[in-house]
Amino acid sequence: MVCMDASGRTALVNAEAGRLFGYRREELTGQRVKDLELANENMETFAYSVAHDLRAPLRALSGFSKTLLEDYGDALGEEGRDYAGRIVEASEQMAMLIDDLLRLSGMNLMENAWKFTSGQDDASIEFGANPAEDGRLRCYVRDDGAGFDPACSDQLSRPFRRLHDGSEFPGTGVGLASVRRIVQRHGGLVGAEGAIGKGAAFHFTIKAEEIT
Amino acid sequence: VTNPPVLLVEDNPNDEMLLLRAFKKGGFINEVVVARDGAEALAYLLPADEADWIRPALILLDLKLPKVDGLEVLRRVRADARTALIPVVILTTSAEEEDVVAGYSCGANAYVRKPVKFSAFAEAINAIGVFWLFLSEPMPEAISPARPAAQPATP
Repeated sequence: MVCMDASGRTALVNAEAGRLFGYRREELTGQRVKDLELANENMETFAYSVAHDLRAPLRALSGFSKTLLEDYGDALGEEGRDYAGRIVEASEQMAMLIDDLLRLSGMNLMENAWKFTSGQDDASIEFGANPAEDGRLRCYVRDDGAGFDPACSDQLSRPFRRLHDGSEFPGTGVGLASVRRIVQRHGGLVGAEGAIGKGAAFHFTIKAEEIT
Repeated sequence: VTNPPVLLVEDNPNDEMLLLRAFKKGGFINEVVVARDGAEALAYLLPADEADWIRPALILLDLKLPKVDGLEVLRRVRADARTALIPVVILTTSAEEEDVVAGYSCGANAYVRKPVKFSAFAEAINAIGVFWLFLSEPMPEAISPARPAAQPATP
């Protein structure tokens, strides 16, 4: 998998080794840049499709199943109403999942690692997963970037709290707060370790079947 | 006093039905005229024969439209003195920054993303109707066509 940010900083992700290697654009040959750009475009097209094209039919599912209940509830009978109610619930659940997916793809942990290692020519970002004590999967993203003061770790996942100056690392402070909210909604836990100048590691637990 | 119509520019028949339902449930009595593509919308808004032209109170405009896209419709509506000051609410699936910026730059008064959940969609339609048809004072019809297009205000 390959990815690239707006500044042209690119990365090659070796899924087997579970490591992310940072490259500067000038280090890359023309063909590789083209490949990366194409892959990036494909990702954007996919995200756009998820965001927009899936929403319209979903709105119809949610709307007309609700309409069916409201206008023809009596004619449907108890069993029919139960079925229609299940369509309403499932479509709304899917709408929430799509929103979460988009939020995660927009500001996930990997992007944070990417951002907070941006000052280094050589950066290492590692991601992986191992079994947690409760049978869930513990996923982590570890970098060797700017890190943070462990004494402030409780502020990390509060909305709009930032440990770094905006001029140093841009951001809004909602990324980690969103990650925590999403993971908690799925019944998981989030945690972080780090030290100033020595990188950071973020992990969260999730049911294995939820990511397959 | 008759209520001026609302023009809905929407190519998705499901969204059209759901919006009409939400609008009716909101208790609004204005007629909703539906244009199913950009060309139909322009034919209604800027007709060659002005004899039976009715100025809508509000335009609900989707962006992705067949024939003439929503932004082009908006540009032409803003460029014509007859329609320049009609409130336009963009009602679309996209919340891409690019689309939002383009929408406001072309003179939209508001930009609303269609929620997926029907109850939220109905609430949004209701809020738009209450604001633009009741709370906001309409531009006096006798004055507006003669005046040059002013910078539209956002709510």
